[in-house]
Amino acid sequence: MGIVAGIDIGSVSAEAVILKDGVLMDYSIMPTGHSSKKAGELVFNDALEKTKLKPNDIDYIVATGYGRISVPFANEKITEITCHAKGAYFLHPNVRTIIDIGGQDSKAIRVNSTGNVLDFAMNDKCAAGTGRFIEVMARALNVKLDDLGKLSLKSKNPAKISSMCTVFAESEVVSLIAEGESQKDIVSGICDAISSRIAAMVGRVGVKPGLMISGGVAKNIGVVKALENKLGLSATIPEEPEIVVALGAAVLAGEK
Amino acid sequence: MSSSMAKHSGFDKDLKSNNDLIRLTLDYFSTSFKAKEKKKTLAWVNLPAPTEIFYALDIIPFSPEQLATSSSFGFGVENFEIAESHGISRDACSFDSHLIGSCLSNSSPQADMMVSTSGAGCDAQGKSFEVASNLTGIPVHHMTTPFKYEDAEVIDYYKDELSRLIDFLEKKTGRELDYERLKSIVKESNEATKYFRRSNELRKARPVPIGGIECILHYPPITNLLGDVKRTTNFYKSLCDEIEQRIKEGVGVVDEDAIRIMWLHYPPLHDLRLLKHIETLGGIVVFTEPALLFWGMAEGNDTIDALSKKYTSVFSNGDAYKRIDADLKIAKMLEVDAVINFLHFGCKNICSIATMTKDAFKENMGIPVLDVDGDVIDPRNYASGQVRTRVEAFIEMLK
Repeated sequence: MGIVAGIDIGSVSAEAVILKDGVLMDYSIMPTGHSSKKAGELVFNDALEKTKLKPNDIDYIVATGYGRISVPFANEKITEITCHAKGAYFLHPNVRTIIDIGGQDSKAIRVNSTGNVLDFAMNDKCAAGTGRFIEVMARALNVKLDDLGKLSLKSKNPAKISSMCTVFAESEVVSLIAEGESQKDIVSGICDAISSRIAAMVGRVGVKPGLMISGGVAKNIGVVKALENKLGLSATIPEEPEIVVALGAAVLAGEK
Repeated sequence: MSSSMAKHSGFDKDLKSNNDLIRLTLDYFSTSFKAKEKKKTLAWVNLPAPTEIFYALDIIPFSPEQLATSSSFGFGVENFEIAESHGISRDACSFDSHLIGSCLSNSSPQADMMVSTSGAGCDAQGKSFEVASNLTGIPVHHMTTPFKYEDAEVIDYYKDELSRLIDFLEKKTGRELDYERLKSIVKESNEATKYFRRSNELRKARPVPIGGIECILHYPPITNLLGDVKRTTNFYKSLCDEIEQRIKEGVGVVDEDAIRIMWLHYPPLHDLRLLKHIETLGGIVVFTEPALLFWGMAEGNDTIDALSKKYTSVFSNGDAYKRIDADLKIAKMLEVDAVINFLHFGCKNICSIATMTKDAFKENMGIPVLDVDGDVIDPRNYASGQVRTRVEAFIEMLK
């Protein structure tokens, strides 16, 4: 297996994971910024620094994520869907359904008992049902992104957000604020709206017990709870949900 | 258009028939655009129109749908926005939007008449032709194909529709249909279909002798015989000869064990390099579904009866099972490993049966279907990176 690395260049953040003989050594997370290429170099160097390794110590590197083509020093490029399945399975071998809600896309992945992809679906047309949607809403409500989930759990009467277009939904939120709707009810309505869209997408691949939610939005307890209610399943949330894809890339690198 | 098409499409330059196709296509568009000037009669038709009747009456059947595909190669893209400024929703089928936009911008060949048919199941086409008729003042005739099929009553109904069509065309042109000439054109059209089908069936070979891009680029001539029935037949015949030669020599465009993919609906014509990209990943598109629209032949001594049977048996005319059964039959024949279903924005036909289609391939062949959302001809409604990620992940899954 040796020492291997997985690098995930997402739309919002970049992650690098280093494994030694199948055991996690360390990882790094950084904002992607304006250059995927630069982000790949920085996040990899940061992970190397943490592990006190040099680039030459790494036997194999797999790059993934939408910016995977911008990692020239990677040995191989594999899509985030395959990497996600591998990473989730590495953490929890009983996982069968994965929901990933990232910065600008969301996906549902069905995996088999060996961690291979059986089917998948992704959001189409727009950014509704993604992390960006929540960011825009948090800004409109003047609520810190990290506080949004907890605040939503305090609501007993979620507001209705009917539009799934991010811009129109923002207008709806502004109107609800003007009508005096409480912040917690609006936030809860936003979590409901996202989870409805995600649940419909999961339906396309068929949900099976062994549910994992990953990606940055997995840190939002409001969305997680709303999704669990809609799907009738409890979800496993990885300790560090943002590194699952990079971890999967490293696992695949270890298989080379 | 030829250099642009070649640049954007990733044509197989070693396939000599591709040059014949480019010349045939250019001549067809040139003849169509000059029809008025040369005092030739031209009719706009949608697919699948019984074009044999038009040829027998010396009418060029021009397909606005083919003109719309040229927007994928950078021609007439502005027609989408022109249609939208006229009140057509951006969510409408882009083929319909383009038709209306091209009427408003006066960028279609001038027609003497329009004939809409309903056999493809494109629900909005008849209405779009009406709008086009309103905008241009060109007379329109509608033909309907009963939803039921393989039924004597249906065939009789369509025979009446053909009589009404002949009546309409004769009145508009002042010409009389020569049934012997029609018979000979039908015979030639059958020849073209025979070779067209053969060129598709030859893709069963391992390694696959021609690329995925060719699947869709070799399709347009059969749809309306490109203004010249004999040349269309010759094109398909020489294409078959060339493919057979490649098979004989063991020449293929991918490895023998490449993943064989059937593509449902059209691929995104503005991103045909996606099909080339699939080949670099170890897959290959061996069939594109629209070919099934022109799979049937008009056989029998009674020409009108034969045409009626041909056009009512079209795979997309009827219930979802008829369409899916036809897809499955071809998939089995070509030994496909997987299917990509391109869910064209605005197409109720394809999108509504996506799950049924997926289940049918899983149950009958045990093979997966990837649903990809996008627009066939409008490059504005398409995210290339997202589509590539889905397709790449699908191929990784199959490996």
